[in-house]
This record gives sequence, structure tokens and C-alpha cells, in this order.
Amino acid sequence: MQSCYDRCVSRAVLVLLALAPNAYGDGWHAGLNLRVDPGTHPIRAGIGLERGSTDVTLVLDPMFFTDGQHDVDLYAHWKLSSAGWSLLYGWRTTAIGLQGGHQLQEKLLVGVGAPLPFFGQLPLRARWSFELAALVVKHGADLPREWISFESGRDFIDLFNFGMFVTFEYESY
Amino acid sequence: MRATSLAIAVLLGGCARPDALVICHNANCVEPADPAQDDTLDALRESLALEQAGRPVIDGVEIDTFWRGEDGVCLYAHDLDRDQTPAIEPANELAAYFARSGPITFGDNPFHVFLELKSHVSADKSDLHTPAERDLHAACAWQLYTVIADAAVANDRDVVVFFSAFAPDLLRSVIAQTPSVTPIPVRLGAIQGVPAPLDNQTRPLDEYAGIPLDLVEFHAQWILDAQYEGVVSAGLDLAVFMFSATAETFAVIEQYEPSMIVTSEARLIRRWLER
Repeated sequence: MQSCYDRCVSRAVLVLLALAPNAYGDGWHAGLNLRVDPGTHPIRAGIGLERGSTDVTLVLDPMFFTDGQHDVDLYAHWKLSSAGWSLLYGWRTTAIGLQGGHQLQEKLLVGVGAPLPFFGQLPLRARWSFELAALVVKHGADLPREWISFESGRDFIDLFNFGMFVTFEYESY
Repeated sequence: MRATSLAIAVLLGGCARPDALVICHNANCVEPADPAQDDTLDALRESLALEQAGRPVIDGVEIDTFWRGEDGVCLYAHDLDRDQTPAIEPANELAAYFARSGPITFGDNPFHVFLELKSHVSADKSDLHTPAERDLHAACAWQLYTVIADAAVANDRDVVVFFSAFAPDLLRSVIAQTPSVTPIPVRLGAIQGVPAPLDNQTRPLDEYAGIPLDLVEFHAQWILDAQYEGVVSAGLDLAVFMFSATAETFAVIEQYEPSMIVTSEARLIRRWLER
């Protein structure tokens, strides 16, 4: 039987695949998603599709075996300028490994991105992104569901975290 | 070949499970986290009643004492937003807890009581104690200690009390009033929370000069490497606290390996530690 977490990942993949026909003309990209802040595991792998001004990426987490935590992102960059500055928006599901199950922490992502210079003629690209991750709800593992609240500062101050990541990817176009 | 095997083992191996005590933040650590119930007797009772595998989920509890300056009353409270309870009440609850049968901690370790002395004396966090109020607040904290210590001795329980504060002068007042006999161990802790300008309570650690600290407690998402190195080099215990544990919190615990985790979500943290 599929767990809630498996279903979430499956849906993210389906969303990405649904975008594929439209993206045929622009191409795809795949590579590493790296960060040094504690928002996710430091090394993850992403695959995405770009069409027009929108670039959608699914990021999976091969480091889940280190501590039972799995960070999955589905986000998009919406290009704002010809220089490549873009608005980042998306969703992150983090599965926290617990005794007897996983707690899922669902985060809304917003931020900005920009291309980084890359030397040579190889079909590679690098991109920097800055994000604000807002934890919207925790659920699962037979623990009570917990939604974000703004009743007092103590309710939400831990739930907003800034992060930065860079991607190094092969691109097909 | 040996080097290759080692490299593969490092790549495939998981991280070691942190070994930390679970301390109930603001005596309120039953999920879902609800800060509105911080430092209330109902939340304390529910937190002490949490069990996993036939043992208590927690290894200790943090209790806030608040000196209300306008009428000179010592309260069990995080702030002045709600009806207030006399400060001695949670000590009486702990005394009853020590008298029950069975274990009082998850592990085979002493039950840790953090007696925090709040820095301000009104709803305004910049309204700090006068020297006389500091002494009265410290005397109040020692009254709680006496109740807790008497119950621990009477019931043959292994208990340690940490006096903790954001304000070093409050700890100095506590030290100055140390009784001649302390039947259970007494420790001292400094709290480093969300930094200014977001919050104005935290004082630099160098202001604690001359205080024989045993512990520094940091907010998990605001700890800096230099602070961590300073605590370790001084031979002090490290604790982290949080209101709601996120992926960032767990990463910090894995990175800094605190000896205590002060949490509002006891079952979440316990099950993460025991995974």
C-alpha cells in the first residue's frame, strides 16, 4: 500500500510529466542541487523542463539513507528579465524519519534566482537561488496535524527559514 | 582495496543517532505545539503524563518563574498575557510526580528541572528588575528548589536543578542566596535566544564573566559556529531549544550534538532520537 509520502512524490512526478509535451520545444535539464544551509540535505538531484519563461524542476533526495529524512522539491523559476533573473515559487515536502513512521513537513517556497556564469562550450548551466521556506503544515506518523499559526511570535518564528542553493545541470538546448 | 571499502562505507553509512535528553519546553510539550498553554498547570500535567514504551517521554521540564513588578508577586508564567499562577504550584506538581511509582525519565538519567528566571517584570520586555526585585525573584526560585529537593530526597529520586536566565545578574542573585545545604545538585545555565533586534533579551556570553556556568542553551536556529566553539572550549554543556521543530532544527541537532533538547514537541523529538 502506498504511503501518503509516496503518493505526494508520485503526484509531483505526474505534474512534471504533464508539462512535458508543452516543454518539448525548449528542452530539459538535469543535475545537482547543492546547498550549505540546513534547509535540506546538502546534495540532491534535480530534473526539469523549460518552456518560454517558465522552468519547472523536481528535486529528489539521494541522501535519505543517511538519516531517514527525504527532501523533495517541486518548484518553478519564472523569468523576470532578459539577464535571467527569475521569481522562484514552489513546494517542498520533507519526510522526517521517526520511530514508527515519517512526519511530513510541507513548505511553501518563494524566492529569486539568477544564472551563474559558466565557462566553456559544454551544454552545462549553473544557477543560484535564494529562498524563503515557510512551513505550512506538519502531519503524519500518528502525531497531531499542526498548521502554521500567527497567534504569537512563538507560533511561527521557527517556521520561516531562509536558504540558498546552486544548481549545476546538463541542459538539452 | 581497504581505502575503497572505507570510502564505500562512509558513503553508504547513516549518521550516528544523537544522544540527548528531552526537556519539556515551558512545561508544555504535548503536540500540537500551542504556546498559548506555555507554563500552565494543565500543560505541565499532560506533559508529565506522556509515555512511550511504558516510560515517560521526557527527561526533564523547564519551568518559568516571572516576577511581576507592579505588585511584587512571583508567578509561574511565561509572560503576563493570561491569568497567573503562584510560582510554587509547578514545584508542588513535580513533588507529586516524584512520589508516583515507576520511572520518572525516559532514560536512566536524573530528572532535569530547568528553573528559568524571566528577565522582565511587566508586559514590556525592556522593563527589567531592580536590584531588590532580582533578589526577591532569586529567593522565589530557591523556594521552588526547596520543594523539589525535599520531594526528590523523600522519594529517593535522582533530580538535578538548573537555574537559568537570559540575564546574568539574575544568576548572580541566585548564587548570592545559595543555601548552606543543597540536597540535590544545582547547576547554572545561560540562555541565548533569538538575537536583537528581533528580541532584546539575549545578553552576550562575556557578560556572564565570573558566573560558574554549567550549560548554555541556544535557540536551535540561531546558533553560530563561533558560539558553539566557545561553549565547547569552555567545557560547558550545550542545549538547544525550539518552539516548533523543522528540518532545519534536526540538521542543527545532528551538527552540534547538544546534550539536551528543550522542545515543545516531546513525542516528535523522542521518536526522532529513537528512530
